[in-house]
Amino acid sequence: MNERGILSSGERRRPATRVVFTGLIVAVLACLAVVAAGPILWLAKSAVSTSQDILRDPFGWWPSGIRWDNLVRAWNGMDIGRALANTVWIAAGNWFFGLLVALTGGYSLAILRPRYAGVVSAAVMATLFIPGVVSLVSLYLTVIDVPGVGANLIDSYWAVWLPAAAHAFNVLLVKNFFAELPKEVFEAAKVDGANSFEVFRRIVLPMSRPIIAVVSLLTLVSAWKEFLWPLLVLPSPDLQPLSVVLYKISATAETSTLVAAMFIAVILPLVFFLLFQKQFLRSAGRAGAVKG
Amino acid sequence: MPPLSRWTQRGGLGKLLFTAPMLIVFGLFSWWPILRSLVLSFQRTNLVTDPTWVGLRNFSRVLADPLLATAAWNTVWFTVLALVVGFPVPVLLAVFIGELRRTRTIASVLVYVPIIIPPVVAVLLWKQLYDPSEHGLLNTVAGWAGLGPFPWLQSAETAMPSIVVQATWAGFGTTTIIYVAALMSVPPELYEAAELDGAGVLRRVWHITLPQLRPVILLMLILQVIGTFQVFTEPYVMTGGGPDNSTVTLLMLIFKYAFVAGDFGKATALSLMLAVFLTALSAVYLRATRGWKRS
Amino acid sequence: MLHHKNWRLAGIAMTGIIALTACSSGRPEAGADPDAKVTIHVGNMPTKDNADNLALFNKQVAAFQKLHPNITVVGEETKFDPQTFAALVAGGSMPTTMQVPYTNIQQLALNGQVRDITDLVKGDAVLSKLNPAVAKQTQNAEGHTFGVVSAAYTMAFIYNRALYEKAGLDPDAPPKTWDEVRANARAIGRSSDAAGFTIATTTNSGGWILTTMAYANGSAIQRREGDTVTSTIDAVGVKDALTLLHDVRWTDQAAGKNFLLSQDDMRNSIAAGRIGQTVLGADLYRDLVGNRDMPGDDLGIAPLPQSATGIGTLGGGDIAVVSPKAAPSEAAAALEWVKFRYLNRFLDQRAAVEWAETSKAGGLPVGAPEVPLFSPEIYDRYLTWVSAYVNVKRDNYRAYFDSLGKLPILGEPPVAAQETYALLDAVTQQVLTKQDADIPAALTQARTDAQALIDAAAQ
Repeated sequence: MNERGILSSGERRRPATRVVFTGLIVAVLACLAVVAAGPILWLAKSAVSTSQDILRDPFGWWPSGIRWDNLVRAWNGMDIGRALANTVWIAAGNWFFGLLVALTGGYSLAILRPRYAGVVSAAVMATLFIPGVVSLVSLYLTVIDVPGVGANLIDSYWAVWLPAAAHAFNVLLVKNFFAELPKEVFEAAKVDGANSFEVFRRIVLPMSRPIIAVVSLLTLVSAWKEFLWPLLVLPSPDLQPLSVVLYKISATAETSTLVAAMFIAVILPLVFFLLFQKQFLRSAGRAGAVKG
Repeated sequence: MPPLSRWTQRGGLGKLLFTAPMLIVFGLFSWWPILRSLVLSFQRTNLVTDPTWVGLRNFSRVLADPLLATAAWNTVWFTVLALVVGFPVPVLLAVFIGELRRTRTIASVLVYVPIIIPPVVAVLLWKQLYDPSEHGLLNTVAGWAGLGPFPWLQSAETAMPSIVVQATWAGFGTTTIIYVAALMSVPPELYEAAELDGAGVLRRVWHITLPQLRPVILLMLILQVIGTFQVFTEPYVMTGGGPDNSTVTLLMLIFKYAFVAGDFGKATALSLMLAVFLTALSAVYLRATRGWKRS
Repeated sequence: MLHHKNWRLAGIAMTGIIALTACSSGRPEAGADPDAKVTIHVGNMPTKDNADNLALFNKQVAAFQKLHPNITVVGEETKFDPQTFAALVAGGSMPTTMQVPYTNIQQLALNGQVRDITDLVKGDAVLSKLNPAVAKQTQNAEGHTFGVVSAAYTMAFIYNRALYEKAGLDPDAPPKTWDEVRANARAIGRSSDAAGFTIATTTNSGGWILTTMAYANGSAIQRREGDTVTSTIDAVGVKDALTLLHDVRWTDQAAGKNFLLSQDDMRNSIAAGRIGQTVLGADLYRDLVGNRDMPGDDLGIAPLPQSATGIGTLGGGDIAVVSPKAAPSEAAAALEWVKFRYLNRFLDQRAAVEWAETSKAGGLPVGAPEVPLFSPEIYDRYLTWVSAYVNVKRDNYRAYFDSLGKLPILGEPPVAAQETYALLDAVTQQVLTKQDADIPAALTQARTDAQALIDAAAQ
């Protein structure tokens, strides 16, 4: 961390600056708390309120009592548990395949450098600049009839996992990370007669823990957010993740049950985030550093 | 030695095996669909009956759709509003957070919280906050200030700004954290020198912080434009495009062509047009800003 | 403008007369072995939160499989969603059979997205008894059949009887004119938080209901002369309907606060007592009372009010269709299932009693408003079979039942109905969200756009 920012430590000690700065901190933090956390706290409150209370008296502290059974009803009646499990399963697959492709691809492009590395690298990175919208429809058609294989992936999680793994940004992150590793280590291993698999397993993987953490969090967060794609490729209600199920039931469910279901959908990622906030924030920042 | 075994000997097979997952996944799900789009845009197909070649007719049918102009205008309007609201906030916030010491973590955590919420939940939650009756949450707050009740999503004038506010809420954290990280690399000596020159805090921000952030800001700007041009989930879930088509976006139109009407050729034609536009826009932008990147 | 009398005839046949340019010709279905083992996937399985309906469904599956040991039925929750149906078919995950609304069948048939079952229904003992006017809905102009009607209703005037009483109105005297509707809306708006009168406006419901209200005000939104179809969206009946909406919304402030309601939102709002009066299908009793916990006594269903020039009401219903990708044996088995699940109870006393008994035990309505799928005699016989189980206050709906033989039932606009409805969604939304909305100008524009859609569809 820098020893100073815009303000020097000398300035920070000056009484006038101190009062103004402290005041500013309090004000901005209060604003942030209301804007960022407020809606979620309200969601928590409303998750155990009656529909009437939610609609008529949004700031009332449970005028009709606390309704824990909202959560039970959302969980049992709407199959939120199943949807949550589906979301976790989608995230797990996206994570695994995303990581697999990024690590092997990054290793190949940055360290093995086959003769065709330049072409492949350019082709992969080019997809960063092609807007995703070009392929929404044709990707759907591809998933219906995978070329060369002839398989229809609709209603299977492969339809979510595999396209998500084609994420050039993750490859770029890993490639840049590997490119900065000291070359001598690999040369030494090669001289010792280690083949590319041994180098990967014994040297590269142990050294890439920080980048694995970054890619993992990025893929997990984006997997949790997927909506449009699973809506299209997982038409069977019993396979759909939370985001799709919530959207579908939002039309028919009673307000209180819907809000309770939304709360359940928020809790897991929120707890996960609060536990690992340092890693989350570092990954997010790191993603930006590469973009810059 | 035959060439193949020599190739294997030199680790050619190993190299290929490590490249293979990337080649397969990108080949099937990135490059192939892009090529497929090019073909598809000249065909008429609903995937049930046999496709027919229709030349440029898909493109002319897209251009003849009276909704196209509305959707294009709405998309531009969304992008402009999203920039006006969503662009300065993260920059200012990041500069501020960069100065925090003990409260830095809590501020960063707060900023990042909305990112964690799945977008559909965030949108449904805000739909709830935007309840247009006087009992609605935001209308209750407005009522404290003697304002409202506002119709929020229920009027053609306020629907799009309301969606932009939600989208900004959901997205400002990512950009802020990226800027905060970028600020770490600003050399402290620059501030040292400025302070010795007698520059005040605001002048230091203006003359040192922002110029130092410039490359990141410029990149984030174009990424944000490209991202907002493809907005879908927010209007789809919040308003379904209404009222009076005031929140129909280009991506919603593509979705409608393809998955509602089953007209996949027409949908691809519009996708391609949008993609060409965005690619051209980024190319022009990157060229134009090349000179500005150096501080 | 066509004359009143012609419309009665035209109405019944209207959906039938559609110029199909590309029509899949009937494939020969012969050779399918009726006893071969076959597995069919059937959509519209009730969801888990709908436990009573689900129990009934499972019971029917078990009974059906006992009756047809060679057929295995796999239930799927998939139901028709206009937003993703094209993807469902294209992606190959459409169940062997599922239900689609009347409104969509012609387009789906034209697109080849549902199977031509002409050969399968020909000579079928049960299906040939169907009310011809109802059965007609499943056919195209050339007489090919694309589905089996599984439920039918007409668009009706829906009101909340409790809110009527609260407003000092007589729930047993529903309005007969649109002026009364407006006056009642004002009264409801004054006496409660509920919307006095409003309609669903999104996902094509706005156009669908506006078309219904236009019929009630004497106008259709398309006119066919020979082979040419002309958009008549700016007809006076459409204007009258929109003017009513506008006046209720802006002059009387009695249309509530939410104007972007889908049909589902609308049903939720009605069930929660937030809507005083609206226009929707008369089939919603089962859904509102059975699934959305509305007290049955509060739900008012009356014939659609008619102006002096009114030409009738729009017919609606569900049609069981078969996937275009189903094999002949699957299609045949699916049809057996459709007959068993949806039609059997009208023809077979044991099935009727069993259905009524299970429904009643599960708190589901028996005797709710519907349009008879078979002749009035068959329907009356069915009513006597289940009379011991009727748990719907049929007296509340006397006016609706009486109207069924009299009020003409009209069809959808013949060409590009859904796309035209989408255009009109925007118009209804505009009228409800913009005080100075220029109705004639909006309709003139809509007419131009609609004509373009019709011309494009004719190509």
